[in-house]
Amino acid sequence: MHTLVQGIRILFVLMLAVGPAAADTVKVGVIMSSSGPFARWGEQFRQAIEVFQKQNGKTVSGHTIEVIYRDDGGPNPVRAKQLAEELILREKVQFLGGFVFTPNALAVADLVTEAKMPTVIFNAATGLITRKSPYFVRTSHTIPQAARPIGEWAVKNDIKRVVTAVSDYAPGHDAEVYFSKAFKAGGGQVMESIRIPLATTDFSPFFERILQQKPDAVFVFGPGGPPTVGLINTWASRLKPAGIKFLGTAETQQIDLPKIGRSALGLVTSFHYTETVDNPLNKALWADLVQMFGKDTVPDLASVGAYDGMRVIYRAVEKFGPRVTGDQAIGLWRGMQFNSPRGPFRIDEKTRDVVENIYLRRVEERDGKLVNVNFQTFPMVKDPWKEDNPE
Amino acid sequence: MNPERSRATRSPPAEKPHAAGWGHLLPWTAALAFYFLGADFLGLGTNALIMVLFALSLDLVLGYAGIITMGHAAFFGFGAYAAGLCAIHVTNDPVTGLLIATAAAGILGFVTGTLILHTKGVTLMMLTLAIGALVAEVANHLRDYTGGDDGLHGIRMAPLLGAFRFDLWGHTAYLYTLAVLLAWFALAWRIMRSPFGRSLDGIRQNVRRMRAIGTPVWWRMVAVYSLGAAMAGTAGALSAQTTRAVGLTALELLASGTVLMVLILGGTRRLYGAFAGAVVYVVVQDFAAQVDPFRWMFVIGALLMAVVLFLENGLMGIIDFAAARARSLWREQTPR
Repeated sequence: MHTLVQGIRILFVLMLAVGPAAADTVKVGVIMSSSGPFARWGEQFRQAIEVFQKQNGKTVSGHTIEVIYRDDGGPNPVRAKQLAEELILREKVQFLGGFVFTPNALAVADLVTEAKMPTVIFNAATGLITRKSPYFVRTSHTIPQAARPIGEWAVKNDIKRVVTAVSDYAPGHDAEVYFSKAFKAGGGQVMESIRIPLATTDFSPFFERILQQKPDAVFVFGPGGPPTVGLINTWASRLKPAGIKFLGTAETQQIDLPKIGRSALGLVTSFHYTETVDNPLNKALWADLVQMFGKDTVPDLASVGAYDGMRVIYRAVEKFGPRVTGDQAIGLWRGMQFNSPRGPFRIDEKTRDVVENIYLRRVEERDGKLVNVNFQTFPMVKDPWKEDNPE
Repeated sequence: MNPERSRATRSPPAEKPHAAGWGHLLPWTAALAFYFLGADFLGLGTNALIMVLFALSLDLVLGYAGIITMGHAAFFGFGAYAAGLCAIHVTNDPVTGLLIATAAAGILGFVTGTLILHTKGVTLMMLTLAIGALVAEVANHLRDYTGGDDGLHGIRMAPLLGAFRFDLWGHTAYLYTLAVLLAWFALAWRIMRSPFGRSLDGIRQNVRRMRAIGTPVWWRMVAVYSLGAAMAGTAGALSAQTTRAVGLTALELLASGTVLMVLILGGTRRLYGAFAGAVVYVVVQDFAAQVDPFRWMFVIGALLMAVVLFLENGLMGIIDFAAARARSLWREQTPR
């Protein structure tokens, strides 16, 4: 049996090697969440990818780029692993992309390494992911990267005492640690660090506790989706009247602002993508999204992650043709930089992680719409997790 | 009168031994043939076999003993975490890990079974739900061991029996899973045709009468509940060992619901119902999600509704019908 298995294996390797050259089609497998409560991620990925392909063509020097979408249904490492296996072995993709959730990205790390598959993380944002496979690059952000700048800013702007309230899971912990670190380094005091269970929908008990401590501000990392809306509304009704400010990261994306309503006005957050950022690429992305998918379409962090992820993949095919290997692609991507809808974008040469501007922004009303407006830029921030956890 | 019920009370030797033998040969030959023909799909195949084993374990508990459980994934997940942690901290020999995980899940089943099985009906269902939620929450909070929401990673398995490496293409994983499934299936088949298995039939149909004839009802229920738990634990362990990842999703209510759906799809109290349901579910899900990754759940929903509405005994009902037709045609053609 062993020789038979060996034979089949060799046959496969040969097929992998010659397949794409003959077909002249480069397949990109995108693993995302497109059903259930996280379906919006998949939708945003797909729309941004289609806009990218409209703007840059579906072919690269004559080779068709075919995107194959697969649904992992949410944080489900086992399913993500099976999909990655299927895409690599059965569909014979040349690149993997996507990954909304950290556990799903971590689950494919060993497989990706074994198959030498160049893999672009469009979202999953825990610091350690890119460490887990030399074939990972990331085009989104890391949570420490976004949480540290607002800690630095807050302590310099009359906020001396803070309570942190984060969702009790790995990204929440990352946010709490890196906000607190920066805030304390500037001389601020973290009065209490509250961890809120993920399934919480009523935030009043936590916010009552915060109210009694009378901090200058509360740093929040929400679970995303509807609970975040509830969280901000609770802040607006409880803490805002007492003069306790709100600090956050991804809580005020423009796509969510209509649901939060006017209580979002004046909220300060730090993030790598602000929808109103003034650059031609961002304007083109907006315009095409609206034209292709309706006037209410709004780009978010998922859109820019996927858009830039496609750019990275296109560059690799441009340079090395359809038979690009994992090592070639990763070699090209290390240190690569270009303009993104979010602003300048670079992939760190050493860590393969994204280096980008982090913007401090405030929710304001413009032409009757709630939007984020940048008021300070932290230029080209690297992931602080990597600095704190040297290899 | 439900024909299923009369079948269950009928004594087992009524089935012709050699006819039953042919019936057995078909699914197992197909599973083995798939190994040679479905080279690109072995991952999917392994996935389906694990689902078969999981659904089979539920069939013992729900189908035969009539214990309606909404927390069966607790045992699957417990087995998966046990196997994963065993591989990381104790030994990465797959067979040892499998046995440990099976025993661990069986013990959990025994302990929780003794606690909850004196209740019945909705109360029992709620308690199984509670145990499922408890196990999931414990796994979520023991972040240092389970990885919490990040999942359990870094599982590296030693070669099976010291000789067969778990390869990227899933050859070893498929045959390993198939062998374990066959072993459990043979055991389950034997047990369900033993006096113990018949007594479960009786308990499901009329607890009072079984008590009246002196059957230790509670112990029988605990025994089958533990057995089902151990079997689900094996399925979880196989999942952890072959995918080398475990996530909290393995413990969620959705996982308990999915396996219930698979079993109903295939047909309860048949053992082979688990086969039919799991294979169809996994294949349809995979195919539908490929065709449309955004709306595939509609297909699954429609399939389940169609089966529940039109096929009383699940997919096995179709096979029964076909077999009955074939038999009657055969009789017509060969007049005695």
